[in-house]
Amino acid sequence: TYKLTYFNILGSAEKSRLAFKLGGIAFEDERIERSAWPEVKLKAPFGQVPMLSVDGKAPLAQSGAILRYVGRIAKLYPDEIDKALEVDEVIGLDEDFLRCLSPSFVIMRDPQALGHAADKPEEDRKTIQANMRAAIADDDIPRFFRYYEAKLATTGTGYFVGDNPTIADCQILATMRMLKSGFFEGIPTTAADTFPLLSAWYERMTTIPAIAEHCAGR
Amino acid sequence: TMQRILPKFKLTYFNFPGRGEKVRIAFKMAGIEFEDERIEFSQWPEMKAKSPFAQVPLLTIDGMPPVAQSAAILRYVGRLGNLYPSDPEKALQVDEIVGLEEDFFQARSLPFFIGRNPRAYGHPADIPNQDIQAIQANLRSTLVAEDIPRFLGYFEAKLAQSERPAFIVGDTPTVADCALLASLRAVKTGTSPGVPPTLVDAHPRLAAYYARVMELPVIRAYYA
Repeated sequence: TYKLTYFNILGSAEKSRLAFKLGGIAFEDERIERSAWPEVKLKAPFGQVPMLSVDGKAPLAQSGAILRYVGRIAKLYPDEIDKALEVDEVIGLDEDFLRCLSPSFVIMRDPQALGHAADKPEEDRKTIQANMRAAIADDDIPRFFRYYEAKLATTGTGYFVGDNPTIADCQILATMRMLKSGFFEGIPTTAADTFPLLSAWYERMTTIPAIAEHCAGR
Repeated sequence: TMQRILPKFKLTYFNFPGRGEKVRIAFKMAGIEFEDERIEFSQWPEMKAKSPFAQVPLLTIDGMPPVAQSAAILRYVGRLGNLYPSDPEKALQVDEIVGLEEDFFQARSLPFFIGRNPRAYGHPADIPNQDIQAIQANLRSTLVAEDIPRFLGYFEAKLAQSERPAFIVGDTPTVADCALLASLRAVKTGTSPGVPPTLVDAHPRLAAYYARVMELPVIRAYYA
């Protein structure tokens, strides 16, 4: 049995939810309210979620670790080392992209962590966030989405690595779901639309029955 | 026994530990030959233009187009060198530590990243140098007082899960040890400005672990 615990948002658990669904593996998709977090945090390894509990054992953390575990049991993470390297490279790239976005979330909840005054007024934080998101939309989005487009072109199968979907596709699909849902406020939800292969890939992935069902349920 | 014929490997990175060190350590632990290409910052603009995603480290395998992403390269070397279990639950534990170490690296590197690109962190592009330095000094105090001890505490807690821990996960070295060693060494040798090398000593299992791993013949030889 598998229990995945996270907040009721897409965030860093979504890629693993997608992998479970794509692999046809049943799992408990536990979603906690923010109000429950202080209590859950005490039980969470290293004070973080998402966390995965296998067969009721002590949960483990780290979204990348969980994604790879699901990938292994769902046969979405190639054993062949050259293919696995490709998958890991794509996952790593998308993690770099999400890291570009991270400061624009942190500024709202903990400006001091980025070297700003702890009591920075909400309005100022929002202005800074808007500027950060505008810069990301201008620079990082085209840069990374060009990489994704080029990778799809090189692979040429309609998926990021090899002939079939892998956890690399799950990783980027989660990111695209966040983008298109407006989770990255200030970045146009249409930002991927000018990339033809990426757009076709998104359509392909979201029409896989298990994924379509999951996206509708959300 | 059939001797495995391996490709020629070249790892390209700057001449400091940073994100490349865990890969160098992995090659050494695995006993796999590699060219340890270290580039100067002055060479970076030219390199950047030729690299697939404008980043290093890069792994070149038999002169093929290079592969990026330090964690991807680490896992690849791990698979080749028997440092990365294929059993899903064992691998999950290894990946958990690899991920934690990446978070640790990010946290302690934040002052440096803010200095390099203040705008990305919401500061004016033309922020005076002394203001940046003041910000970095404040952040480093918090790192030393809170974040670094917190992360070291996580690794200490992981070691405490075994009565006699040999390596960070299980009885044999894995890529988790390569990543962790790189981070511990960064703290121990003072590569992070303002971070006292003694921070590791407050965690007895971790301090003993560090001493043990540094005494492994291949590691001792590498850092001699």
